[in-house]
Amino acid sequence: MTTQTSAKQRPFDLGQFLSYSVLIIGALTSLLPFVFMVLSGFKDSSELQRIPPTLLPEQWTLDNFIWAWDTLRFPRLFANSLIVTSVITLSVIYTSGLLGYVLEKIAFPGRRILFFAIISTMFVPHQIAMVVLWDLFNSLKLLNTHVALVMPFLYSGFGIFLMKQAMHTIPDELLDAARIDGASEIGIYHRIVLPNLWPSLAALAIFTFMFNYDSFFWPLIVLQDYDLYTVPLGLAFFQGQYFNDLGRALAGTTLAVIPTLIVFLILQRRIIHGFTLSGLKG
Amino acid sequence: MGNLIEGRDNPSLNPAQNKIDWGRFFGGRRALLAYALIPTILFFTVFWIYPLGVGFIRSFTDWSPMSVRAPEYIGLENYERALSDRQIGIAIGNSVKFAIFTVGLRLALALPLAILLTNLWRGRSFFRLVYFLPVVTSVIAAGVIWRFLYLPRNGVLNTILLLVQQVLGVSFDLPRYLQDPNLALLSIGVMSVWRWLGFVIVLLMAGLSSIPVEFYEAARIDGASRFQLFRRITLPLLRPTLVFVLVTEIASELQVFTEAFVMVSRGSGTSLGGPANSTLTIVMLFYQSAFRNFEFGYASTIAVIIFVIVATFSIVQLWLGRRRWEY
Repeated sequence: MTTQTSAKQRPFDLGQFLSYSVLIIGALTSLLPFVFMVLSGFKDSSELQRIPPTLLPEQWTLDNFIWAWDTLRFPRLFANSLIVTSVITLSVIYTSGLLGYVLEKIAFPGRRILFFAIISTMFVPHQIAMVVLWDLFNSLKLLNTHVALVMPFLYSGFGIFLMKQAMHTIPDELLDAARIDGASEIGIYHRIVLPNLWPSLAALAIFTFMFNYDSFFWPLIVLQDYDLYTVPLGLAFFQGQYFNDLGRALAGTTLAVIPTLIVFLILQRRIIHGFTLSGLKG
Repeated sequence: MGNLIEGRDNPSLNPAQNKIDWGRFFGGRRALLAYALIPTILFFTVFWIYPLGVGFIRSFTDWSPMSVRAPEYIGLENYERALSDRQIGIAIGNSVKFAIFTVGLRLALALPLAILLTNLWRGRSFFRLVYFLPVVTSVIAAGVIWRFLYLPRNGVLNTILLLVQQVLGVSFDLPRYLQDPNLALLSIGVMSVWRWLGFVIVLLMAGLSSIPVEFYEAARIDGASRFQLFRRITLPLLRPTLVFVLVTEIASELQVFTEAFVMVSRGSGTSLGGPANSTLTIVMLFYQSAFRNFEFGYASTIAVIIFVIVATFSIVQLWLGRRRWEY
C-alpha cells in the first residue's frame, strides 16, 4: 500500500496484464449468474423455454415479480426474518461482550471449564443436540413459534471467543481507573467495556446478522406455519412448489437477494472485515 | 497512563489489594459474576450440555417423539443397524467426496487469486467486493440460480457447450448436470465452490498481508526466483492460515445439507438425495431419520457418527499440519 504510485506513471507490465485478465474472468464468473437471474425474471414463460435462450428479454414483463411478491408475501417474510435475526444479534453482541470481559479480565473458579464448554459449540457438530432440543420445544408446546427459533442462538460460542480475544486490547489500567472512580463492576461493562469494544462488536453484529439471516436447518424443522417463515424458508418452499416454473422462482429469488445486496454494497468493508475476523480464530 | 500503572503496582493506591472491601466484594465483582455467569451457565447447560448428553445416551434407545412410552434401551442395535445400512455407507461416501472436492478446488482457485490480488497495483477492493458477492447471497437463492444455469435443454452452461461444439465442429452428449447420478454431486459442489470462493480469498489475503514485506525484499536481493519466493516464504508462512481454512472448511462441508436439499429435492414430501442416492449426504440422512421418519434414537446414532467423522478429519488435519518451521 505504501509503495503505490499512480498507475499512469508505470510502463506496461505483462505480469499485471495477465493478473487483470485472470481476475476479470473470475469476476465475470462470480457476477454473471446474478445477471442471468435478474434478466430471466423479466421474461415470460414461453421465452424461457426457447432454445437457444435469449440473453435480454424480448418482451420485458413484470408479471413474474408481481406474482412472486404476492404469492410469497414478501413483507411478511422480511418482517419475520428481521425480528428473529435482530433479537439474536442484539443478544449475541451483549452476551458475547459480557462473557468476553468476564472470562478475560476476571478470575473465578471454573473459568477454564466454562470457556472450554463454550468454545466446544464451535467444533462439535450440532446434530446430536438438535434432536433433543426439538423434543424439548415440542414438549413445551413451543414448536412452530419464533421463540423456539431464537432461544438456542441467544449466546454464541464464537462471539464469546472473539470478544475474549478483543478484550486483550483493553488495558487493565482503564478498568482499574474506573474502579478507583467508584464505578460498579456491571457499570464498568456498560460504560467502559462496551464503548471500547465497539468496533469488534460491530463486526460481530454484522457477521451474526448475515449468518443467522441465512439460517435454514433449524427453522426448517421448527416452523410449520407459512406466516412464521423466514426469507430462506419461504424461498425454499416457493421453489419447491414451482420447481419447474423457473421464471417465477427466479423472480422470487431476485426479490429476496436485492435487499441483501444493497446492505452488502453499503456496508461492504465492515462485512468483509467481520467475515475475516471469523476466519482469524486460530 | 504512567500514574495508573503505578497505581496498579502500588498496593496503597489500589484498595482491592490493600484491604478487603466487603462492600465492593458483594456489590461489585460478585454481582457481576452472578449477573454474567448464572444465565450463561443455565443457557449452555439447557441448550448444549444437556442435549448433547441426552442425545448420546438416547442413541442407544428406540426413542421416538411420536410414541407415548419412554424410550427403551436397546444396546448397540442402532449402531449395528447403521453399520449394515447401505444408505449410510453411500451418504458418508458422498459427504466425504463432496468435502474433499469443494475444499480442494476452492483452495486451488483461491490461493492464486489471493496472491494476484495482493500484488495488484489497483482495483484490489473492487475485485474483493465482486468475489464476495456470492458469499452474502442466500444459499437458497444460489441454489435456484444454479439450477437455472444447469438446465439441460436451454441452460446457460449447455448453451455455451453447444456453441463450443459448433465452433469446434465436434459432437458429444450435453451433460444433464443435476439429473445425472454421476454428475449431480459434482454440480452441487461447483455451486458451493462458487458461493464460498470469495470468503476463502479474503481469509488468505488476510494471511498473506501478515507476511512481512522485508522477507521478500531480502530474498529478492539474494536472487530468489518468483517460484522460490512462493515455495520458501509464502507457503511456509501461510501455513497456519491454510491449516485453519482447511480444518474449518472440511468440517463444515462434511455437514453439507442445504445446497443438496434445495437443488435436487422439490421440498417436503419428496424423496431426498436423488438421483439414485447420488446426492444423499450424511446430514440429509440424519434429517430424514429424525424429521421425516421420526426415529429419534436412530437419528441420534447417525448424529454421533457425524461427530466421529468430523472429529477424525479435524484431528488428522491438525496433526498433519502441525507447525514445522523450516528455519
